[in-house]
Parts: sequence; C-alpha cells; structure tokens
Amino acid sequence: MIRALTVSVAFACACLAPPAAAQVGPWQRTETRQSCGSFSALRTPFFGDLHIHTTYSGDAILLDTRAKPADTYVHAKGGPLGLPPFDVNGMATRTAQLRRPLDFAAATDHAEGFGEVDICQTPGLAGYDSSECQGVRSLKGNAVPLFPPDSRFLALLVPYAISVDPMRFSWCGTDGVECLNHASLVWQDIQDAAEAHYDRTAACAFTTFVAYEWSATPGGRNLHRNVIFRNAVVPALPTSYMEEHTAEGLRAAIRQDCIDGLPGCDALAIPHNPNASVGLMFAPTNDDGSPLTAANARARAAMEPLVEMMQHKGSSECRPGIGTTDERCGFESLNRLTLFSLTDTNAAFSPQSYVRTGFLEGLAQRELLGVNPFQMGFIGSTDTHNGTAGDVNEVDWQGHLGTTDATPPFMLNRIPPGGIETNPGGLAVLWAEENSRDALFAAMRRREAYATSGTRPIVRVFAGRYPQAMCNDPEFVRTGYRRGVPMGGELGPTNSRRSPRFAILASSDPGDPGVPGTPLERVQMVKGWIDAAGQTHEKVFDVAGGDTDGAVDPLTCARSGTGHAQLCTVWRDPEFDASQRAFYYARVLENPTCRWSARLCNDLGVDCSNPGSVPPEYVRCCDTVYARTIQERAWTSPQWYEPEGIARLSAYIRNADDPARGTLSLRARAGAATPMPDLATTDFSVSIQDDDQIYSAVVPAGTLQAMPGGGWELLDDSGAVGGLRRLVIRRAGGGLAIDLRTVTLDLSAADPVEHMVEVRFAAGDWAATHVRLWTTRGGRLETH
Amino acid sequence: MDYARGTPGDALTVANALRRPALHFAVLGALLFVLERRVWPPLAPERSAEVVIPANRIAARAERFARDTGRPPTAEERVVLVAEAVDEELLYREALARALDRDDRSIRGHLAEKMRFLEPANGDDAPALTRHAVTLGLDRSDAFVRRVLVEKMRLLARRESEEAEPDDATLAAYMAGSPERWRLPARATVQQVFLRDADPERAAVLLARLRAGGADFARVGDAFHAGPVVPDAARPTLASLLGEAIAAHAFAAPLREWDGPLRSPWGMHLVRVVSRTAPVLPAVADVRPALVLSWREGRRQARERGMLAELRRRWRVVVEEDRGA
Repeated sequence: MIRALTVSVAFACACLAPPAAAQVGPWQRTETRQSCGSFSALRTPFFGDLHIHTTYSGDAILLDTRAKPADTYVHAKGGPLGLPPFDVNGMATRTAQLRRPLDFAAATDHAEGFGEVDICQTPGLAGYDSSECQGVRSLKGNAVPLFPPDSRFLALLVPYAISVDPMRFSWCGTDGVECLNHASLVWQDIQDAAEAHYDRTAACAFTTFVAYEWSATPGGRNLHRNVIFRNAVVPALPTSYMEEHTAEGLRAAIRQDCIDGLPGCDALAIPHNPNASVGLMFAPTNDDGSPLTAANARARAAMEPLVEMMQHKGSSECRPGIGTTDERCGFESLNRLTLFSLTDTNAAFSPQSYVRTGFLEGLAQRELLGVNPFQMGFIGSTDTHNGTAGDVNEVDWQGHLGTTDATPPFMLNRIPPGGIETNPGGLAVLWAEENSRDALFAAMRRREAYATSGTRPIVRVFAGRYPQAMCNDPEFVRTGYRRGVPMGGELGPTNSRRSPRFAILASSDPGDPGVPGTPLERVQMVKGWIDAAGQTHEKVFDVAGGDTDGAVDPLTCARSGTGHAQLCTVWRDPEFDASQRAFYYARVLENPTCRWSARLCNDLGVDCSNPGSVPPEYVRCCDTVYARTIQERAWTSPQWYEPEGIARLSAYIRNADDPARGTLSLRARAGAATPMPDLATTDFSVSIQDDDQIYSAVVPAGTLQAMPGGGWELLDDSGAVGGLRRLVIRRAGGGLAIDLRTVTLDLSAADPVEHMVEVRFAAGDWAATHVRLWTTRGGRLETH
Repeated sequence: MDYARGTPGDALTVANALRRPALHFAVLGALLFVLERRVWPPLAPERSAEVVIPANRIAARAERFARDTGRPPTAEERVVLVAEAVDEELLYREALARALDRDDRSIRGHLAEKMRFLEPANGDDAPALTRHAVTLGLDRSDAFVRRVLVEKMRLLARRESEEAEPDDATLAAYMAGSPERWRLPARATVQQVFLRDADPERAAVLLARLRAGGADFARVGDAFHAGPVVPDAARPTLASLLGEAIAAHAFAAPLREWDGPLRSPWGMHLVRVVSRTAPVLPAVADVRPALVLSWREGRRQARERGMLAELRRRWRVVVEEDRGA
C-alpha cells in the first residue's frame, strides 16, 4: 500500500508543512469514518469510562435510574444529567455534570435482563403484572435497606445472576422468546445511542463503544466481564449469563458469534472486581472447576487483555497481609468477601482476588502450561449506576446508586454494595494515535493503558535499552518507542544479563478551572517474579520522588506543602536475574487529599471531637476504620519480561526506488533461555506488519538444513521459500541468533514514514514479538 | 269507526287519501324520523363526543403516587395526575376507534384465559373463547386490555413518523436548527518546546534560535509527556496536555511565530501555533447516521405530542369531581 511520501513535522527541520498525511498505526482500520486530523504516531493519552449502567440495567429499576445510554454519552461529553429522585412531573431533583469531559465511554448494562427490565416497566406487556415485576417496582425509590437483600430484589437477583443455574422468569415464554424479543429492541437502542454520539468527523472529539456486561455472580462470587465491541458490527443479541454460565463459555460464544462468525466483528472482555470474586478470578482453573489447559490459557489471554482493577467497589491491586506487606495496598479496600457480604476485615480473603498476587499465579501457570493466562493490563472505571460516566471527583460526588445513595446519610450508611466503604471510582487511560474506535481498541489489545483512582496524572513508562540520561532527552517519547516498549509491552533481555532500563515520566494532573490538580509525591515500581524453584515473589521499589511535606488537614481539607509537578527517572532493577520471568508496573502517588467521605462529613458540620453532638446518621464520619485522607494514584499496565524474548533486533526495508522491488534484511537475537527449535520437525515463521502485512514467510519443517555444530540454514538465491535468500538460525552470544535476508520482493506495504512496526517469530512452542517505532533514513525504513 | 272500503279509481278525496295504507306508512315514517332526531341522539361519535374520567380513576392514581413517594400529591401534582389520566383515556378511545384490539395477540390470549376460567369445558378452543368473551363485553372493562391499547396507540403515534430516509436538505436544516449540538470545535496545531526549569535566560536564548531557524524544535528542550507537535487539537485536549494558558494562547496568538516562555502546570514552554481551524458545522455526509437518529427521535416525540393535542381537540373531556378527596 503506497502512501503519499510526506514530511512529518515531528522529525524534519523546522518546517511549516502540515501534519503528516500518512496515518499508519499498527492496527487495521475496520470502519468507515473521516481521518483524524489529530493523528500522532507518538500517541496521546485518552481518558474514559468503560463501566457505566443506565436505565436498561436490572438494578436500575430499584434505583430509579432513568438515564438511557444516549443521556450517558451527553454527560460524558460535559452535558448535565438528571439524577433520581424524580418528582411527579418526571423532573430530576439533582443534576450531575463533569468539570472535564471524557474522551471515550461505553454504556455496559447487564445483558441478562434487557428484555425483562423493559417489560417490568411497560404497562400492558405480559409480565408487567407478574409478582416479580410488581415486587421490584415496589422497591423503587423506597428506603429499603440493601442488606440483608430484600426478598423482592432477591427474586430478580438470584435467578439472573447468583444461581449457578440461571433461569428466566416463567412469563418470558418458551426459551425466553418474549423477553428476548424485547431484549433485541433494547440492544438496538444501545447501538443507536453509541452511533449517534460517536464522532466520525475529523475532529475525533469523542468515541463510544457498543458494549454490555456479562453478570455471572455464581454463589455471590463476582466473575463479571464487560464485553466491548470494536465497531458497529455486533451480534443480534449479546451473550449473557443466561446463555453461557462460564467465562470460558462466554469467550467461546464471542469467538463464534463475533470474531470468527461475523465478518468485521471484533470484541474483548474486561473482568472487574476480582476483589469480590472470593479467589475465583485468578484461580488456575476454569469456571467449571477443571484445571486450565494451555488452550484455555491462550483463549483467555487473547480475549481478556485488561482488568478493571479500580472502581466504585474498591481497588483490586493487592491487600495488606495477603501475600504482601505493602502498606499502600490498603487503599480503597473492599472489606467484604462478596458484594453482598457484611463488612469483615478478618474474613478469609484470597490472594487470587487481587491482581498483583493473581499475576504471580499467572507466572506460575506460564511455567506449567507454557502460556500465561493472566497477562493483563490495568484500567479503572466507575461502575456508576446513575449513568454518570466519568463521575470520579471526590469533591462533589453524589453517589453512584440512584435513590439508594441519594442523600448524605444514605451515602455513608448504606451497607453492601454501597456505603462509606465505596468510592467514586477511577478512569481508564489509553495511549493511542487518535481518538477513534480502531485506535483505542488496539490500545486495549496491546495493553498500552493505565488505571487512575479518579484523577488525571499523565504517565509514560518505557522499558528497553535506554541511556541513563534519558530524562534529559528532548525526544524522550520518540526514543522510548524506538528503543523499547511502552506500558503493557513484552520485553526480552534488551540489556543481556543486566537489567532493562525503565524510563518513567509522570506529570501531575493539571486540574481544571474549579479544582487544581494535586502535586505528585513519588513513583514506585512493583516487581513480581518467579524463581527457578517455581516460587513467586514481589517487591516494591521507590524510584522517584519520596516523602514530601505535602499534607492535607482532614478537618478543613486545605492542602499544604509542596510536591512534584513532574517526576522522571531511568531505573534499573537492582535484583534483576535474566533467567527469571517477571512483570513490572509503576504506581504513581499524589500528595494526600481529603477522601469524599471526609469532605461530606465536613460539609455537614460533623464535629467528631464532640461525640455527643454527632447525629446518629453521621456516626460513621467518626469511625477511624475509614480513611479521611487518601493518596490518589495511577497504576500502569505491567511490562512483561521474558527470558526468551527478543533481546536485539536490527532490520531495514529498502524500497524507495521501486516499492515493488524491495529488500528486507534482519538480524535478531533472542535470549539465552530460548531453546534451539528442531526445524526438521517444526515450521519456522516470521512476519512483519503495521496496519497491514508487510512481509510473511513460513518455512516448512525439514526445509532448513542442519548446520554442523548446531543451528539451521537456508541459502537460496532464487528465494523460492518466502522470498528468502538467506536464513540462518544459530547460537551466538549466549542467545539464539536469527539472520535473514530476502531477494527483491514486493514490500510496498512498508509505508515510508516513521511508524510502529511489529515483527513476530514462531517455531513450535517458542514465539516472540518485537514492536518498535521504525524510522526512515535514506530510502530505508529501519530499526536498531 | 266505519272505514269506507276504497277501490282503485275512486275519486281522490281527502277522505280517500287518508285511508290509504301507503300514507299511513309515510306519516309513521316521518313521525319516527322526527322523534329519532329529537329524542334519541346519534349513536356514532361526532364533534360533541364526550370522554368522562371517573373520580375513582383519579383516586387510584393518587393512591399509587402516595405509595411510591410516601405522601399524598399536592394540588399541583394532582393536576398532572389528572392530565395523565386524560391522555390515557383519549389514547384508549382512539385505539378502540381504530379497532386496534381486533387482531391483537396479547388481548386475544388474555380474553381466552378469562373465558377459560368461566367455561372450563371449552378449554382448548381459544378462538371460540375469545369470541365468547367479546360477546359478553369482557374486553370493555378489562384493565389489561386497556393498558395494551394505550401502549399500542403511543407506539403507533411514534411509528407514524417512520417516513422515508430524510434527504440532505432536510438534515441540513435540522442541523442548522441546533448548531451548538453539531458544530465541530475550533482546533489548533501547536509545536512546543518544554523547559523544566524556569530559567529565563535559557528560554530567551532558545527562543532567539528558534525564531532564527537555527534549531530543530523537536530536538531541543527537556523530556515531556507530549511530543513536539500536538496536531489538530480542540481546546480541552490542549488544556489537558499543555495546560490552560497554552490552550488559550493557541486560539489567540498570531500564527507561525515562536513565542514564550508560557507557563504550564509542569514548567515553561516555547510555543508556535502552526494552524487553526474555526468552528464549523460538519457536512451532512460526515454525520449522517447520528443526524438521522436524532432527527427521527425528534419527529417521534413531536408526533406523540401532536396526536394528544389532536385528540383533546376532537373529544370533550369531563373529569368527575373526586368527592372522596
């Protein structure tokens, strides 16, 4: 594919040429829309919310949430949204509005009850008068405690989410046909709203996704996933917990109904609240209890690249005392085993309910199965049930649960799943070339994402071969992509036996006109690894910043002291062992600020120094179990160190004179741990792609000749096999060396502009990828 | 009284005429005609048709309101409850007038169920049961039937606007009617150099070099989270990446001149605004799917309102006093 050869302003002289017309991301364009004028190969952070409930969710009936997906998107873009309670004219008595708009959002309603929710609220339809619908409607707007769950709510919750054998109401008809008919109307409206608010113009101001929630809660244990579709091509009906009772079943259905079965369709699933899964979320088993196989692990990793580890119902990063002594794990903890359990700080919390310890389990599974099922990135979101996308501000939060947390006493006292223990939630941040569906979806897939606890610090993390003085490099970002991988990426032994360099640049949240941002306190790196004996370990390192005099007065919420506007460092792991598989993620902490509950209690005038004066409904304000101050933070998607990953790769494609007559020359070195493949019995494949395929070759088993002294070679001036003139694979410098050169070939798909290119190798069980920003020089597209 | 026997061909005397049966019939007919017009009003609904909202219906709504909110409705809220009851009755009557009940599956099924209870022996013959229910007038007072018909009428009102795809001219006019909803924001392309420390001398030297064309702006300055160019960004994006001051500058400064140092939350910047696009309405073709969805929804709502207004004109509504209030 030939693109116009234009001069990108990014690396040329001080020219005044307009931005590059070539817009090549390492992802396909699957939809029709205008090109984004804002395309930037060095990527921009986009802030969004991928977990939002509207009136279409079953629990919205009792919360009296009336916002539809269209209203959610208006709110996400900065417009007002009415909140319950509603007066008799149907007018909202409260309003919510963001101070800063989001860049993207997805309404994710519980798919199990799409039809039932509609029927229960539409007089005249069969089922409207059923005892179940009457029961749920009678809960609407009433001060019914959510615990123990009212029997009328249980009548909906149990068969639709909690039972291990979910079943629709009898009035749904045979095979649920009546309810499914209505479900398709609701699903259509969800799609229409997403389309109506997706900006397909060159302004690229806002992106929506068609999405829903698979709400499996067997026995009360949370296994929910949000299914996000890449574009407007979606199945006729979503697969809910009714249709598939296990996550592996869900993934298979998505594959069948979308990825493989519907041309143009693509989707991924994002689990959330591992902290309420009672150890199921990261258990090394399938949902049906069978042990994970390599195929299971591969399927899971392929379809679940992200986990929502921060939201309204707590952070799932880690828990003090559960596999860690890291005190900072006690941030926004959920102190209940399940969403509907009572608070009990001494309950038997499982290490497999948290991402840090869960990912360590993933490393162990990698050793067992050859595939890591839990190689995931991080996002945050809200899980608002008000339709208030991105409503994460601690300053004026009005709750997330409709009428059941519509007043200060309710917000403080409502027990599971609301109450003082919960929080406004977090945000999903995606590094992408532009604000469009394909670009953002690709960022999710490659895990170039981070979670925040609600604020908007801007964080870059690169891992690779960097100079120690990189923080003085004006081309920090460009160098980052050229010589290593961003957050979420896979990394080989780029520095041989020595530690890769982690280049971290964190900028504080700039704030908005009403609320200034908070300075940063420090950056930490969290490492998890597995040793030769199969034992997993974790360690937290302080890498930048440190104790500051930043403080906040919990009684007035006034901030004082200083912190850092920007923190930059190049860090080496002092305990690095090149033979040990590991993951690394950055945790960026702000100076302390008041928690929403402290602000609320202060605004109410609660004086805890005079206990007798505290009204009974505000007693929790003075309970020292609940933090009054917090340190907002960001967690970057881990980078994954693989001993048999690509350590070095140097390549160029020359095709300037005649793109149809180009040559490829490549030299790669994989780590010492890489086994020499037996290419007498296994194929060897190599492919190079950006937004389309540049080059691909499969050398069938037995084609390469075994070399004396080890290794394999193919020498063929005719290039009969994949255009290869020369392919040599041997041991060199302690690792596996691959040397490749082609004859003249059509390599016109290699766009002659600076952009991200991916090289992939596979031979039997071994596979490795190398993704870098390739540059152009003298008619060559190249990487070193 | 003696009736003289008349024969054809008798003289046409009044007496004779008065004896003819045809005349008797004609007179009787005229008498009936007069009586019918005066004493019995016409059976078909005409301009003076009346709709009565019984008191107990308002009371039932008020009771439901009290159950939902925990208190009785205020006088103002009662007005709204009455209006809702009127709307519902009008829709119901219109649905009957259009015979929307005739082939409705839910209604037929429901009526059959009712009759099954009364005639268990005929339990399997649904059509017969339905017919019998209708004969007995069971549909006329049934709340379920009523609700189904009201809902169908609402849907019909909305669906009547399912016209052909609107043409470009229609959509352009629709978009022009609410430009703030559709207008693309102003955007700017900005080049920037970040200076971590607030050293004014360093900034001044660099600014001079940039203005003289003696430096590659992408290769000078300090490490920053954004690249050297932020292309085609609206104000909120510029503010989130470069701070408020530079965002404001981008839409006010003269083009193609290096300027600064300007402050951001993170340090100082030298900035050049390369280009700007003014806010503009997009071409219909670029936002067509969203426009059509929005236009259709607007039409649906207008249709529903229009239908209710038309029904209120056509029917005379009488609301019974709620004596129990």
